[in-house]
Amino acid sequence: MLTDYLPVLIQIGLAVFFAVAILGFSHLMGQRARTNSLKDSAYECGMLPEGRAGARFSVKFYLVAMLFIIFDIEVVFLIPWVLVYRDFLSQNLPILFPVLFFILVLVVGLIYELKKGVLEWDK
Amino acid sequence: MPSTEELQALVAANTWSALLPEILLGVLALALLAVDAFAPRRQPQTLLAAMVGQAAILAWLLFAVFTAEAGEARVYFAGSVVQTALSDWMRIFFVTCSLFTTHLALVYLRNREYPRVEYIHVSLVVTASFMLLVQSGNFLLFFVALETLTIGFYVLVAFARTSRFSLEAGLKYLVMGGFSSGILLFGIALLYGVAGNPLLPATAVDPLNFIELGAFIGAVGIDGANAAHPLVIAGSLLVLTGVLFKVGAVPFQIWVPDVYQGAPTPTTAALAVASKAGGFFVLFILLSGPFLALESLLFPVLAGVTAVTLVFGNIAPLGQQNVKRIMGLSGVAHAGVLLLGMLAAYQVPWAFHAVLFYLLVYAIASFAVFEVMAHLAPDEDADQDISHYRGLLKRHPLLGSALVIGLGSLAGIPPLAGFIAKVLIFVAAFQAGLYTLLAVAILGVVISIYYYFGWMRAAVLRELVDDGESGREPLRVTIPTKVILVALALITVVGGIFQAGLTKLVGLS
Amino acid sequence: MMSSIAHLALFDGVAELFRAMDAASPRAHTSVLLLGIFGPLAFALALAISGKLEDRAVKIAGFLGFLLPALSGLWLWIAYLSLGVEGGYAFLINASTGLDFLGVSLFLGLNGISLPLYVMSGIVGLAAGIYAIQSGVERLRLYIILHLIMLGGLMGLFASIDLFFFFFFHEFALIPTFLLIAIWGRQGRRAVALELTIYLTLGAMLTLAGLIALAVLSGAGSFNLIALRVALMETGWQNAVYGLLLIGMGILVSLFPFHSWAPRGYATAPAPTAMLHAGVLKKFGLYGLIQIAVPLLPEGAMAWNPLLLWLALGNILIIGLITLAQRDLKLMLGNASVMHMGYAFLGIFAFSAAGIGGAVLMMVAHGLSVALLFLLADSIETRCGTTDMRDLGGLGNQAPVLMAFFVAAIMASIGLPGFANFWGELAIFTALWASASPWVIAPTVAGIVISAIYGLRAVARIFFGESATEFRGGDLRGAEKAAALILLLSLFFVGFWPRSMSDSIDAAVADSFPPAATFAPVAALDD
Repeated sequence: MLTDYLPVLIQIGLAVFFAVAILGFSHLMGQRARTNSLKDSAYECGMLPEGRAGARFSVKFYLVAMLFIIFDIEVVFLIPWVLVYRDFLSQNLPILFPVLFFILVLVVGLIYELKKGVLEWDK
Repeated sequence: MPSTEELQALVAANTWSALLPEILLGVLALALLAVDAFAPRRQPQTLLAAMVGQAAILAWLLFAVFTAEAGEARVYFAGSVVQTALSDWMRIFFVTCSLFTTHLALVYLRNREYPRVEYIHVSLVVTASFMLLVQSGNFLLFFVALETLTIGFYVLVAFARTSRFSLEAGLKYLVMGGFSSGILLFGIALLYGVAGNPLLPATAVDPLNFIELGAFIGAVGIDGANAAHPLVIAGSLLVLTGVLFKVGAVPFQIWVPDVYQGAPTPTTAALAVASKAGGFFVLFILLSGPFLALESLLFPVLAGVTAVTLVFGNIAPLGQQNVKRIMGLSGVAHAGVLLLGMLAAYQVPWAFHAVLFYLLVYAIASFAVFEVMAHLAPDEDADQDISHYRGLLKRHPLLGSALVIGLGSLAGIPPLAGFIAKVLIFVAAFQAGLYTLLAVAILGVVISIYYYFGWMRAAVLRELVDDGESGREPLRVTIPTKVILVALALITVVGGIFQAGLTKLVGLS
Repeated sequence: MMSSIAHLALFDGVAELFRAMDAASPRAHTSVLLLGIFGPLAFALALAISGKLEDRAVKIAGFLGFLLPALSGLWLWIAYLSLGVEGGYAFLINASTGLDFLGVSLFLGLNGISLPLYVMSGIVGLAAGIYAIQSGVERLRLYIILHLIMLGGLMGLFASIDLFFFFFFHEFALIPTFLLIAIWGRQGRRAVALELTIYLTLGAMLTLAGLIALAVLSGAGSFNLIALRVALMETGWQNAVYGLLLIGMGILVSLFPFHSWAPRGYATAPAPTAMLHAGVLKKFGLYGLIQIAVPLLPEGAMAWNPLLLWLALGNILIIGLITLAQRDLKLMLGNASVMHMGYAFLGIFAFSAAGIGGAVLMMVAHGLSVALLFLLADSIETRCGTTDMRDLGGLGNQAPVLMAFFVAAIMASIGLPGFANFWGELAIFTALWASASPWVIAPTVAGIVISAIYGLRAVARIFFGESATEFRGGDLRGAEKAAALILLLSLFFVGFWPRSMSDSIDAAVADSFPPAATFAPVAALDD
């Protein structure tokens, strides 16, 4: 049974080998770099960096991103629902209202966001 | 695709009415948001409706418990939801906690520029999740409920978004909470994997179900007991870690002081009371259900955790001056005593009821103390110092006496209910033969007197020091607050002398 | 055994009355017992929740609260003797409070051992109460409330047959002590209050552990003392549990190496608190050993007795010498009260009816006399502003009544005949003589010499010679005199008629202990 996993082991071995080999060989055989303070500076050539490295984004981007994720996941939930919808209906089993309740929850959230002005970009 | 019969059976198991209180809490939470979005000027009425709604749900649950006839556990949703007499009481417990938290939040938000309805909204969702958590019959609902309430707590902890402390606490809780959730999930995955292994005896069809998992772990095959399987051991220990994180047991207490300090006072109260109670009830479900066969493994582990928790929890608050940190760190000590009761429950059948009694008494005393804290908090909620309590008894006798009674009960001073609770756990531990741990716990009680005493002394003795800051204006205490404080203090005092009401409530008699 | 009371024709009529009451309703005397315990608590509650009251009303309500236990004690004493219970339990009442599943219930009653202490507690409570009411301290109402709670707890503790409530009432009395010292104590009160709190909580917790162990391990499934009497424990457990109880209760009684909280605590406490604590509350540990630990764990007691002997001698000799070196009157009294506990422990060591009986009588006498001494020391302090004996002097001329009381109290505590203390100590010595190690008497007698030295020296320093302080306020006032007189008369009463107590003590003790040297010869001396 364990032999089934042999390719995985080989793969791991290869990965480790290449990582070690590339670093090791270049260390052993490659040219040594000359190091001085200029050489080690962030940009050896070009302009000196100005300002903060971490640029600040408006929080609105995050809000939109989060909204996107929420509705994205809603869709993820709806896809399996669509797949079994017909079967459930044919068996006369309740399937519409549970999911409507689920969507209602999201809709209330959406209304709340709209009223709070989350989606008004210039506000 | 499952067969028609299977589908019909599954749908038939979905008894939504069994979860109506939780659903209604969720609907209430949603309705609050919607109403507030459309009628922001009607906020006082909206908040009142939130209180009334919770009270109505509480009344309904109480009515249901008192009219229900005793019987077997009720199983719904194909084993996902298991309702017992104890879990019914825990649901009532959580709704009551929610009411107190709501009230604390209203006091806290009175002079602060944070959204109000949103706080109540999240708090209600957290409450509903707690109620689902204590009824969970498999790891799926267990994890979903636990995550929902944890995410809710992330919001509640960082709610004071202009306070550095609150943001720090939020970040810490997020990182540590995420870490513990990950560990818990990993444990669940390991158990799921090993219990579904067809090569082992008594393979579970639904390995996430607590009953099936328990049967699997308890089974013994030719190659030895399943309980000795390394993956079972690793999985159960990892799951246990996740739960111990919630109750703040050492060595998973690292988040406690900072989060308790930084979080807004109502959140701190909810963490201290509801989170701890939920954690211990879940621990009980796990230890008495799926992990029952692992006693020989888990007992020594839990005993070690109990010992260090008791030691740490009683020594750490000694040097503290910040009362929220004291509440947090002494909460660790209370977790130690409760763990002692859990250990005793292995031998002594009534010990878990003693744990529930302790939780109940602890909740009552804690809410009394937190109510007082919410009234005395300076503008920066995290800077609550013992010195703010100087001369409180003189400044406002009701707040002062409620604080002293609450703290006395937490310290376990007779004739308050906290003393009875400690004695019950000690007797149970003695009957279970846990002499060493008992000795540690008793020493802990002696040490704990020191820091509770310091706080009480500030309230009782120190004369008012006019330092011109920290809110020396007259305290605003509304009539409902007075009623709440008197009721909590009264229960604590009467419960210490005449215990019949409380013992009956937790099923001891 | 015939009660000596029967010889008194005068008593017959009264006894007939009490018997008739009991026959009419078995609850008649029990309700007096309940009144003695819950009366002061009810008055405390009433004072706490009533709104603005005139000073006078507070004082009257407080006095009534303090009076009830004393009356209850005297009433029950007469009733007990009239009913002829011969040391057994009387006035029983058993009420459930919701802990029945553990075998815990509020079970009250008195037997030959607890009755004398109950009576003594009521009397000391009345004296301390009167003294507290007249003291005129700040926040007088809270002061009275806390003392009332303390007194209620004390009465309840001696009347408890249930181990849990025995401990519970003790804590009831102990908690107000901490507050009283912390709020109204002398200089350095905060540190002393904290030290006392932690030390005594440790003692209390050890005792609690011991009591739980006793109830659980005996297998009686009950905390009820009467039920536990029949259940005997294995030897190994007996040793362990007795050790726990001895150390826990030893801390509370200030047994030799665990005594360090006591002298400073008493010196710092306000006078009524010191009277109630040193006089009554401290007897909790001894009472617990005599009533619970020794009879229920005889083998454990035998095993620990050799150690107990040395610790008790430590109390008498080492603390005795420390007492000699004290210059502050209150510290001296605090140390002296620690020292005298040694005699009571020796009574337990003797392990005979006479020894234990003597210890009980000694506890009663010591409670009365030490309360009187603390009362007088405090009245000296209020008049001279100090209790440093180097600064005091010549009070005899200015306050002759105070001096008379003080001399009498010192005589009593030394153990002169005519005072109750004499009988207790004599019985203990007799028991020691009959015990396996009669040599113990030698150091014990040396202890008496020591207490005579420091007692008489204190009298000489305070009342004779020159004074270095200003004397204000004159001789004892009426209320102070009344409080002191109550205590002194009680000391005389028991001193001249010890059989009024010793008969029932003897009968109760005889059940549990070998009569190696009976208590009776001592008691027969007054016939």
